[in-house]
Amino acid sequence: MEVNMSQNISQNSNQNATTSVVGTAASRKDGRAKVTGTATYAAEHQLSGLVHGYVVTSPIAKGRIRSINTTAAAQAPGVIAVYTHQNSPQIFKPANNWMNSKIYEARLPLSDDQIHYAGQVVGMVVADTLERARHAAHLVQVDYEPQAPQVNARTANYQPSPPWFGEDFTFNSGSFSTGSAEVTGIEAQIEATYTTEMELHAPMEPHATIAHWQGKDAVTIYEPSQYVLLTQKTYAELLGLAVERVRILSPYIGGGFGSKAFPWPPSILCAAAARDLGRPLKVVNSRRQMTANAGHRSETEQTLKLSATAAGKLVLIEHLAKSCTSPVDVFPEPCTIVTPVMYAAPNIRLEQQLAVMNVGTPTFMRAPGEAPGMWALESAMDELAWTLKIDPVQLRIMNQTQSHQRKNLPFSAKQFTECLEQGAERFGWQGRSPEPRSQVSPSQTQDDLLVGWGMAAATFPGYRGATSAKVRLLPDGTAHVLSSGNDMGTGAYTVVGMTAADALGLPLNQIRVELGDSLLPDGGIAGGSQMTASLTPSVALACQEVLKAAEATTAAAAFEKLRQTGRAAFEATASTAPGEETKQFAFNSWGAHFCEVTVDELLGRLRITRWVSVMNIGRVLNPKTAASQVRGGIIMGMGQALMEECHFDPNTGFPVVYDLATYHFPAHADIPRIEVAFVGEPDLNFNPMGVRGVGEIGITGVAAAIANAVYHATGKRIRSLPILPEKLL
Amino acid sequence: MPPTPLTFTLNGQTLYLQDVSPSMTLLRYLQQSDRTGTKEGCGDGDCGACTVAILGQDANGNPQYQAMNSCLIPLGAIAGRHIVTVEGLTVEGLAESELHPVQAAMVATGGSQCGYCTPGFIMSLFAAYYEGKVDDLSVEGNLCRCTGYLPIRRAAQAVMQEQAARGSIAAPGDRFATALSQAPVSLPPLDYRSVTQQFYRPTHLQILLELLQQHPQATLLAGGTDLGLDMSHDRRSFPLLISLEAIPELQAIEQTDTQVEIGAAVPLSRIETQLHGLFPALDEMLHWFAARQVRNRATLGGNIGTASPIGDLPPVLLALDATLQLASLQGTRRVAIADFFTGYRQTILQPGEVIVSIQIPQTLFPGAVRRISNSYKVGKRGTDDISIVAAAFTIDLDEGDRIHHARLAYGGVAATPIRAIAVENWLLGKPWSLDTVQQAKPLLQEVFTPLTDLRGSAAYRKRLVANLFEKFFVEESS
Repeated sequence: MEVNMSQNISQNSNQNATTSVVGTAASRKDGRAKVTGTATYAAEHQLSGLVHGYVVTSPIAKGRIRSINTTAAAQAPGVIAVYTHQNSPQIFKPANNWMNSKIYEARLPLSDDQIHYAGQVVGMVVADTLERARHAAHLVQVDYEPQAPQVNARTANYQPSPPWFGEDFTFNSGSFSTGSAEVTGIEAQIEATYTTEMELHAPMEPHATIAHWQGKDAVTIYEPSQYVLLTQKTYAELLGLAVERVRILSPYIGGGFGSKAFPWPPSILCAAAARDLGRPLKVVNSRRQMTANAGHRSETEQTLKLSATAAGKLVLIEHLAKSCTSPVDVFPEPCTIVTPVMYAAPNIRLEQQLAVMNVGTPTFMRAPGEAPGMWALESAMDELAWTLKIDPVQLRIMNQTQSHQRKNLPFSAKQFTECLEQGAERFGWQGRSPEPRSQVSPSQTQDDLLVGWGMAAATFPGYRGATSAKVRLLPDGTAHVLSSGNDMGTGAYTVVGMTAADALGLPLNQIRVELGDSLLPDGGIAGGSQMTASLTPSVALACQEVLKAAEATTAAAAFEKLRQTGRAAFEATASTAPGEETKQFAFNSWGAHFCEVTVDELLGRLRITRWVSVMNIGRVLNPKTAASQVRGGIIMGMGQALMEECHFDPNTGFPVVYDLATYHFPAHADIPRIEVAFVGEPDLNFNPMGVRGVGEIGITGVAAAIANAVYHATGKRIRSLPILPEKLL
Repeated sequence: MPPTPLTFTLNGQTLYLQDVSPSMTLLRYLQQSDRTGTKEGCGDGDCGACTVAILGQDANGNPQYQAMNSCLIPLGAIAGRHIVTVEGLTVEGLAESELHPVQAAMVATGGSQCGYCTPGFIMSLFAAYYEGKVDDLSVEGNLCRCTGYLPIRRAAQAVMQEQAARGSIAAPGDRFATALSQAPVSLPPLDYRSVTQQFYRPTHLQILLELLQQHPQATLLAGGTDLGLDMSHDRRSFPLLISLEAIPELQAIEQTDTQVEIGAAVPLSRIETQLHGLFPALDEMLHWFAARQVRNRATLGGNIGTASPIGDLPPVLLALDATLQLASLQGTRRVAIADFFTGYRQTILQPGEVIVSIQIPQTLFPGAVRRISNSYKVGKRGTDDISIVAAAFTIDLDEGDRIHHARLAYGGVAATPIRAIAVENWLLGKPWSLDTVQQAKPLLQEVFTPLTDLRGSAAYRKRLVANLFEKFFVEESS
């Protein structure tokens, strides 16, 4: 285990600190279910009378449907129904405002004859088996009237971006806000444009939905959902039902990374058609259909201008970012939100633009904004460091900001310098040769490879939402923790259990955790790295409440009371939410990545050979699951840096990357040893547990660290991701 | 052949299937029958989430658990076989301590996050466990999007250490080790018919050729790692399939002083072990070829027969001057592999004709005293990838270290696997030196006109054609 805990866990909600589970590297509570294959994912629920839907998707990227002939499909063996826009099952328009409901794509499936992107759902065939549904889907004859699509982000028509959660992207400070052109003290400057390509979430579990109606006015939906209660409310609106008539079950999610929080068109269609059919219906996206119907991260183009004094103090930062959205929803990739968080400068200008392309709708993907934003910003910082001949680690330390420059609030429990310094020390950064192309090491085959070292910073906001949890003590000596919050692989089952174990003074194996069911109290969203920070305070509080309800000081005493009185259970529900602290502090997690790459210039082959990351995430509840989250983020960043990209045929607008053979993400052999360490104190301003999130920070800065190492190795500054072999030749 | 029901053993239980499609994939069957531990991540053989262990033979003909992608294997191909899925590793109600060692190690190291890929990793590790080789390579064909792979690597290391400490592969009483020792190794013949489909598995070459004569429209199935894609996605119907897996002539590897003859339907993983050390170019390419699960099924004949321009092994065979033994009822013929490919996915194979074996000479070109040979694959990813360009080189030198014989073969640069014949001829008689290589590079760069596709641009491919040759020189002369 390459996890090192140098932090002092001072706060512990358990009275008896000697038995504390929190802070230990406990094994995952769901480990057994996962290794035995008994963890049941949405598509695997077996229901009597289940039928299968297969969506028909558009091969053209723009235009309209002239006509559809479903006769052959309807007559094919086993076919039960064929839906098109001419006979769509009833779907109601939801408010889609985050409060009452949220769908990923504002346009409802089959709502008209218009085609906005290749892969758009234009119909669905339902049959008794998947094979027959899929076969009949190929028999649906659609006559399209195509138009020339726009699928090239470089030539798209960019307009000022709409705001991000109510806040304008545009930001001007110093001379930019006063309109004064006079900026003094500039002795060095870099300006460069950095690009990224369209990325896919590519979770291992394809998106899937089973809708099982009980009559016409109640439905159970099995669907991977990162936000169970909002998904419940959303389906209630889509289907015209009272909220309590919808139950969402999502106990296990096979990876989401932002793509599984809300319903996509095939899922909506599944739920609506199942009512129409009166039978349980399953619709699974094929891996190919996921390219258009499961979200992506937009390509981005970012121009960064950094001006500094000769001593390296930043005087000015300009960050202009462009991204693309689909014709049927608005999602800007918020690259610039990270800029005023990272570095202090008296003059800052931020601007975002958005263009519409004929592609599926983009959405949140692991560190939306921060992942591409930090790629550009941290590459630019490296360029500035080379220009100034200043150690990039020092450049970051001297320019960090102690306050959020948009919110004008001081950061709480920020230990960024420690991340940088400890990372440099663990990596051996001091031994770096100061010139590009100056480090060469003999490879296994004796011909020389260029070696480069690079570093970059990492950050992600500390988000926290309102949550509730229920705790139940049973006479058998177990405590059950219940919440709709969920675990898409993050470790929530484990840290929720650990929190309860400490709060109740029980061993972890006496805690049972149930998540992912809309019948349970609202656990909030597994998104924005906030499940642990939001839910564990409610769990800890519910544990205290249940002991109060039992009028017992310990769980053991409460169990004894249950046995003596014959009572079935003690139960308490508690809710927690962020409060005044959000007006006093800004919250972010921090980190630093250090890496070594080798480059074979004959073939353009790049290998990452060593990686050290030091993270400051507040209190670490479980170093094993937390480090795994960081490493998972890092390898997704390696994918973004080296191979992940989705492209379209410029003429047809059809994706030419559509499966896991064409959309590459790292395999085992691509991954070097990755050392992850944590520094810092619990952030008790943030929540009583002192924990900030860890799910997304790992990916931020990774691509820049690699590109910076490539520059050190080769003298080549790569400003377009991914860094393909041919760019290194 | 008498009609046979579709019978196989799944987790120790023998199943007799009637009226199932023989081209239905094993994965689909498992899921339909509520055995959902085996996951579908892609249905393309890329991700390994559907990995199961199937009893096959090792290089010595002994039974061996082999990891395979169940999404690419049709039910017809598993008739008569023994299969273990993740459900077979544990019995309901077993305590934590009674998990299979590979499962226990994965729990302890935190090898699962979202868990969807986990059963596939478990089955890859399981197969490797009974081979006594639980290493990084055993999970090269399993993709994980969550963990960063390192906890899985640690689980593999822990299992390996446990085996080393014990001094034996399996603990006493291990039921899988016992089953392995009792397993049958030969595949029975099969004539299975569903309402609309037929699946034959002949056990004699003559019967195969007769069947082919009788049914020229039949589809031949070797490992099915390419054909399986069409089955997995129901892209085609397969009224008549003939399996090549049980024909002795196609399953043999014969070695003499002068040549090696490899049966066309021998799985690549067997070639990898049995011929290791004989041909560096073959060893190297097999190392990079797809991943373990695919190599356990894919065959040399299949990799040639599909005639893909980016097949990894044809360049190696071109560089080694391999010949192919073809057979039909009309007779047999032997052709040079260079003459086999006629166009994009086209070959000289006639209706009713099959590839029986591939012969690779072990001798130097007459008059040569020393051979230098190797192969290269450039892809976007370390493993589990399709090549951008693949190359294989053979240089035979005379006593004066002059080039006496040259083979420079490539994949991914033309409509077929192809040799740079003009440059090969230009090299003859020249000294094997960096100077010669540098002179050859501009020629090589212009010898092909590759296409730009999503894997790489034409310009990059052209430079690779030349640079790979330099790489070969630099590596082999150091």
